[in-house]
Amino acid sequence: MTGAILAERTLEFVTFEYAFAARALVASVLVGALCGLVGTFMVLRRMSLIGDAAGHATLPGVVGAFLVTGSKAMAPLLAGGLGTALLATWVVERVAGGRRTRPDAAIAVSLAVFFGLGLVLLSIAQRSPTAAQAGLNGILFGNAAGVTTPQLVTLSVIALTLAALVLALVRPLTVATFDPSFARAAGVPLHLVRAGVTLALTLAVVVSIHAVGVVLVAAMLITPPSTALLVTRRMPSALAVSAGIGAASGAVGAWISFVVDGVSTGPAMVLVASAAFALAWVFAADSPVRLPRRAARVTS
Amino acid sequence: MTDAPAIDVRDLVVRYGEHVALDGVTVTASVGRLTAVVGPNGAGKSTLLNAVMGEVRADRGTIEVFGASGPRALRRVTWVPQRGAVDADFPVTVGDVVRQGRLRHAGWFRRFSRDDHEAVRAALERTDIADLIDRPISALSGGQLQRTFLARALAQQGDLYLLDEPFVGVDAATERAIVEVLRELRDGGAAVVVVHHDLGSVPELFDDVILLNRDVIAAGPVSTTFNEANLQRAWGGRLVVLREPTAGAS
Amino acid sequence: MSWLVEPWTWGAFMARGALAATLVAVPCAVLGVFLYLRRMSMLADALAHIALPGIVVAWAISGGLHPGAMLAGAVGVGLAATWGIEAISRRARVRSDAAIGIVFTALFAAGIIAVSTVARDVHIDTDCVLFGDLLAVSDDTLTLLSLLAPASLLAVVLGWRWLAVTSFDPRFAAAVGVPVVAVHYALTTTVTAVAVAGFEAVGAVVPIALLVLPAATAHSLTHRLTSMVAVAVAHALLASFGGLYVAVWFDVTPAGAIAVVGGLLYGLARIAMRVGSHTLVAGSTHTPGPVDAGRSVA
Repeated sequence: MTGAILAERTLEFVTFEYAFAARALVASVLVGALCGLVGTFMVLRRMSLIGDAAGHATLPGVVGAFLVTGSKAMAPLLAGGLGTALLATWVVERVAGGRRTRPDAAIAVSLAVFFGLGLVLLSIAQRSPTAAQAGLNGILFGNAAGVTTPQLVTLSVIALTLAALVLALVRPLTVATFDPSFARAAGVPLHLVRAGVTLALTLAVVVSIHAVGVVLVAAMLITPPSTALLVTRRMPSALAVSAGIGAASGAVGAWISFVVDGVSTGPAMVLVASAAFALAWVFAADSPVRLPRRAARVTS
Repeated sequence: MTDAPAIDVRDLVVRYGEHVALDGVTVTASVGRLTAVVGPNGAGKSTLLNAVMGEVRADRGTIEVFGASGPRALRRVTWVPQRGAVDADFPVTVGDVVRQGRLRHAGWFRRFSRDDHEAVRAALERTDIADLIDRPISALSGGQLQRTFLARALAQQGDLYLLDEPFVGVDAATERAIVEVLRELRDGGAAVVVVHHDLGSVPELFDDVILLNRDVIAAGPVSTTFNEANLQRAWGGRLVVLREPTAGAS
Repeated sequence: MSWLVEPWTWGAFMARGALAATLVAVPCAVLGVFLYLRRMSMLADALAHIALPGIVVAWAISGGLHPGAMLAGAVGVGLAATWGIEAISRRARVRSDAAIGIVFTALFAAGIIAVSTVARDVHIDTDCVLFGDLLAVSDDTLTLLSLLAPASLLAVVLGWRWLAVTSFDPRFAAAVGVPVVAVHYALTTTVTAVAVAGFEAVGAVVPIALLVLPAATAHSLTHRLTSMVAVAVAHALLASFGGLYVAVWFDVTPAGAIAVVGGLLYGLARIAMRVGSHTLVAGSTHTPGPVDAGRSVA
């Protein structure tokens, strides 16, 4: 791909010459910001990979809904995905709660079984005419360009609502994540908070699978927050930076996906977010990498 | 209600699966007293505190805090965790943690009032970490972290303080600071209950002692209760008592 | 019971598929027990996904998918990923579970992009990434698996003591001179190699099921290491053959079916243990006394 083509396509992208590209951009930015916001709490609770399980677990719900309704209307697919993702997180809690299975194994068990079920259903769905299930493949690795306007509206509403809730409840959420015993004694209804965070996580995952895909949505829940935690020292800014990095990754990822043939938005977004993490890992304070400038500075 | 003991536990049974952690514990803790909870590993000391805090469910028995039970009762209780229990990597500063102590006063959604900021400042000064107010907790030493949680407890201005092994792994200066603060709290009329690991310091630091080994072996003022016979019973006869050659009673 | 026998008469694919499944599932089950005990189940998740970039590297090296190249790609990427995860999580403020997620998703994303752009001619597409193609495995894959599966099992047998002690008490192991780090890398690299070798058979994601479900099931049923391995292998065989039958009779993907059957077996084991322990407790009388300070308490 020559520089000329790159420039030409970039121009088309930023001038919103194509409606689908504009939608893809908006969707990716919203998804990045939302996942960054919600993912921060899971990363801080050392439960990063539950997002991975939830993401993979949307597959049987989405495909199942498609098989049952025969259409790719958004609402049933979302509902199906939400249902199985919630079920999967419930399974993780139940399995991990029992004393015979390790908590980390619980996540892997739930992920593997639900995703396996999703694959089975997908193989059934693939028997139907190609046109009908072509869109389902977009859900696996993300295809923000295929987002329709109604889907975008739904995504925006959910994203903004969740963001508003998180911002309003930032104090109880922070304390509940930091010191659950203290929070409980201070009157925070811990089980409600936990359920709420799980619900928010699952919602974020379900509305994000169009743009990022089932397999990689975990990355947007883990990588931007981890980057933010390297760069900030306090909670409110951690949330803001995480959302910002997520949004930026979405934007750049959408651009890359538009400009380069054959690249889906999901992997593109993830690579950008990973690059941001790598930069922060090397250059942020307390870095193990010794850079010439910093040699003279005494770290606290 | 003012006559009710700070903690009133009756016939408390707590099980973890098949393992019985507390087997019918009946004990009280009083205001204006510094009470130590001691016992061998696995005796259920932390479990007792957790049960009072509502962290673990009681299988049988009752727990009352100032004559009340349930979540409302905890409004007057202040909890200082074991140092290792909290994530030191969390993006909060010392000031943020101490301000958490004011949440019950200020509510979750209102801005902190002048009184709140004043209480926070006073707590930081009392624990000698006022200069650390904006430091992230990941940059604190063990002693500084312990003082931060102590400051949070002070800012709460509660009536019952529960501390789980606060002296573990802190330097001598911090240990002295903690002791002074606890004494002040007691003199101010609060009840202070401490799970303590160091038997040697019990007589000098505490007023009352609870000797626990799944059940209460003995409880009462240190002068009458903290003796070798009771200790040997609590440790199942496996305790080795070393006496200082020139000192009097242990 | 003709449904049991009939598929075998339809063609060689059933036998080849069963062979491939067995050759992937059994080593995964055995290795998975150790991963489980070391609380590395999520690393199993990562290593399974990393099969994809391993394949891409193999293709980049050799321009095709020859077994030797696949192995080299697997080993290279496995080592790099393991090292990357360790290195990243050593920095303060990076949590170890997050490090796993960051590394494997980045590598997987890179692999997807490579597959859909540069490596487009190769016989990998996204369907293959997900489902594998158990009922049409190539001779190359069977050859590779036939060598790798026994080799990995032999490695486990030879390294049994080291694996056992490093899984239960790495610090003690280090103190008595066991090369703990080398064992760790050897374990993860072997897992990646098996995952890569089995990629064509079961895809990139299903190996998680093969690694974790047998171990989790075994842990529900037994305490001892040797029994755990035995139960895990039994689970792997049951799940593989069960999944294969389901796939063949219901015309669904075998990879997914194996995972689902494995999950059902795990669920059954949990239920069986729950019922069993209730019977036990009801029959005993429990009189607790003071804790003996000399004994350690669970």
